[in-house]
Amino acid sequence: MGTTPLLIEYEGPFDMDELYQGAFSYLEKLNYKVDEDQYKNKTNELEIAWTGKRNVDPYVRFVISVSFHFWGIKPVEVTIDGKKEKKTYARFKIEISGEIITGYEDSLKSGDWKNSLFVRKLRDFFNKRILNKDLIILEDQLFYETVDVQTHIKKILNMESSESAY
Amino acid sequence: MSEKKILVKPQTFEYSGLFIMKEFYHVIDTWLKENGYDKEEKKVREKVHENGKDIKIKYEPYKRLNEFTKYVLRTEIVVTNMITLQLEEEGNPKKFNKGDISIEIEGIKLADTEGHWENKPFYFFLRTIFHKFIIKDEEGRMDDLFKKDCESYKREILDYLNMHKFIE
Repeated sequence: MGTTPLLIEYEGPFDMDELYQGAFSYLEKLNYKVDEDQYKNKTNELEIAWTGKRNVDPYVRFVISVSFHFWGIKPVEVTIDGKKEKKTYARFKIEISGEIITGYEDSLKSGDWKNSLFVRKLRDFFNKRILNKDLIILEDQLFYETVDVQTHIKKILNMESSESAY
Repeated sequence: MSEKKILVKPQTFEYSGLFIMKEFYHVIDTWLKENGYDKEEKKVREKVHENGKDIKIKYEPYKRLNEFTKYVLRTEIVVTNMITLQLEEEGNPKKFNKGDISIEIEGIKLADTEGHWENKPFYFFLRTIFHKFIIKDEEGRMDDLFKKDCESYKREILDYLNMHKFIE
């Protein structure tokens, strides 16, 4: 089960270190264990992908994926409140999405059976018929956690749409 | 594929002058939350250039009538050449933004969002009978309430912008 991906597109000067550290530490503050799956650095282009995992209970896990893609990276000097500061200028896109993983832990100790058709069908039946309402509530919770991450990143970038009532 | 019905045709209105962008965004967010709409921000784009900032925000906040139907308030806000000014309001210095805003609002009803009732002709027939004879009155009433929501939403936005019209 996944949530709608949230997008941020920005072009202008920003603090690269503040963005990277700020986003990473905020995910950790929300109790996600963050792994960096990709760091691809080409001339003036950078791609980063993170996966944050949080175990809600022994059966359900929240996964938030954040991907950054930067183009035209160059250092610039900007004047803010009369003071000159060194920033990075780039055009970039950030995509944040969430996913619920069920049965991430092999609690039944099914061993070789865990990938069997029977266990998969049993899990589908359990998710759709027994846990359905709980999963809908959890999906909402996860969606608003991704909105929280998006709002925090917007605050780091000092974007005008960084005030959220949710 | 879901069935889409436009209940409120796209309405565009423009404003040029002073406003506070962060506050404006917060006003919209607060109205949506208080009226039971789930936030769905499709895209937010900001570009900083020599003449100021260009902002484009696309929202599709929605409210579910039931598992089958949802109402969507499609909104697109475009702000061009936005700059920041320091002015006085009631003797106190305050930061304002100045620029051109264009807002488009559309009210849409989406039915059968997961496409379950279009798989077979018999299901499609059942769905049509259900809509035409069983829940027609209830849906009609909810459609009217949604149209009132659209009007209230539009008023909230225009009232906020008009508040700043006479600040110098």
